[in-house]
Amino acid sequence: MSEDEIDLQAAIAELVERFEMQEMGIRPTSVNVMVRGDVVIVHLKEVLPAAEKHLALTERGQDLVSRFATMLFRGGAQPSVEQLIARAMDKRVLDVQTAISPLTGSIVAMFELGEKSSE
Amino acid sequence: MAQTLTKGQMEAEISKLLIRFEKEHIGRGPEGARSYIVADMAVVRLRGVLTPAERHLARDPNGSALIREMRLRLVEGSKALLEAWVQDLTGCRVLNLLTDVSTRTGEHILVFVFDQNLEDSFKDRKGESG
Repeated sequence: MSEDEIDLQAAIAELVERFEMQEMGIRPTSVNVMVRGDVVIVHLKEVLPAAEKHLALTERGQDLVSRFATMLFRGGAQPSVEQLIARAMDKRVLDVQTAISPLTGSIVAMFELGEKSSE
Repeated sequence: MAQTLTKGQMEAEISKLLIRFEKEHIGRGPEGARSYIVADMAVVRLRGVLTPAERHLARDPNGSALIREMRLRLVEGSKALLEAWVQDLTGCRVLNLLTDVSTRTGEHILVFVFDQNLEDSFKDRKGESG
């Protein structure tokens, strides 16, 4: 992995952490970012509060918490996390998918990238 | 505790308890809280419960519906705990908990319905300010 890629991952981790702290009022234990080809994977550790972890113990609850997290990444700020990642990668974000763990309170978000952004 | 507090003090304790619940379990504390004991009910108004991200998302109708669903489900999931806390504080059994959230104003209303008239238990208290 090149130094540029390492810098890019660190920059995305910083902007996601800032979003969580400023817009959600939560400080994740850690934020790790992996950029692999046209995919950006963000792992936020211990970010779910107790009630969300409890809600996510059922399949329906897990789906709701996951949809909520996805929607916040897509539109929970101006610019959104999705837009910031698109800007950092200079590519369009085609889709965002989010998985959550009720056991660890972690969120894993996958941003799927498309062609070069026209911005 | 209901035996030693005035009505106003009990209302303040209920507010504090709900702020603690929001902070510890929902993960985001409200900007303020007011509680009112009326007959066999305690009505709690929590102001400013939405995070900046939620306020932003609430501008979209789909986002607003999802925030409301999420909030109500979070309270529903923690209902047993919340009712137990309020029961310990007031000494009254909670028969029902009704709740709603406004994504327009960021206000969360909770109504606890008790098995007895809590307000009446303060009426004969000397020095009661109401």
